[in-house]
Amino acid sequence: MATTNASITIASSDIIPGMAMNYYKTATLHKAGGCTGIEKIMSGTVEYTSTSAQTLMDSSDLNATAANKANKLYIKNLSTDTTEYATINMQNEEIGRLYSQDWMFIPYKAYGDDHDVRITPSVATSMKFDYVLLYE
Amino acid sequence: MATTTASFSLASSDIASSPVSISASSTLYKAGLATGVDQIQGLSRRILKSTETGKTLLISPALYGMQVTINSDMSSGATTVEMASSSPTLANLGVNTNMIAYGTGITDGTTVASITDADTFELSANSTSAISADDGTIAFFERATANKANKVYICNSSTSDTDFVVITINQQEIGRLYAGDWMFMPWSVSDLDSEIYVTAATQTSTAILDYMVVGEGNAA
Repeated sequence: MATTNASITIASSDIIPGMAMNYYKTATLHKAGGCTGIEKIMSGTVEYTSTSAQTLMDSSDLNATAANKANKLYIKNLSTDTTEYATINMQNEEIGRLYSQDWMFIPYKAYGDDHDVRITPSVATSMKFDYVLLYE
Repeated sequence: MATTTASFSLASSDIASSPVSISASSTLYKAGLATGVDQIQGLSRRILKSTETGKTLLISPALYGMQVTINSDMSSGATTVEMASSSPTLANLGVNTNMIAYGTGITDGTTVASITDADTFELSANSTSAISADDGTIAFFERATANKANKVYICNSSTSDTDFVVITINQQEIGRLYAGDWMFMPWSVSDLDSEIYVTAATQTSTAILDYMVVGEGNAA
């Protein structure tokens, strides 16, 4: 089985002055309900040149193998312009905005045809995003 | 300004034919600016008893708690709301201008426009229906400002491999966090229905959720 580790550190010396913060967490990514490592990965970089919603993940394509599993999805906005952002939706529900260099790492249901992950860039000039899907 | 960073790494020597190593680090800025975020709802822990298997609110757009008042009345199509009693006063109840006022006949997003006196205030929008004399219940709260650059961290700190929690925003299921899994995502709180829920429907023991919100809170 594969062993894949995902780690996060959230740190700040001054968001609360005098109380430095440094949280660290690591997780070994297992298949649903067991200790067997996730063993499939799909990754790439996409470029969008439109402000209309773009489908990054089509859940109907993943439904057969990945639905309701312990999938994980990573997305990073590669823009370096602090004013540029992308609105991330799961189907029609807005999750949030990824500003330049922001990243996200979420579990992904990938079920049926109503869990698409959509990206809506704030500008029509080129915006690029890295993504990684770890799935079963 | 505060400097807060969120760093990510993903590493595997054997998930693909070549090793995978991805890392990212971002300074958490306010929306559209190069100024660091300055509000935090620090690391908290919520324990769901094994009997708490229903959809449970974990993170709300309502900041800093909520004040619920009873015995109010108002006319349909009006903005004036009057409480049955001036004791305690609205000020003593912690009701302030610009707080969200939420209740029957009040359009979502309506705020307290002004406080007239100890027991009367004005809404920012006309009510859609009347509340009979002394019969209304209104919740007041300060909401997280919409469309800001907030980030949410959630970790399922349970230890049973088979237990998972479903993460939901409003009505949309995002995915399952199994024991030991964590997530980090933007949260724009685009409307008052942007609540984040957890559901531990099939847990065999208590579910332990650690979570944190870093962002802009009630920024103007």
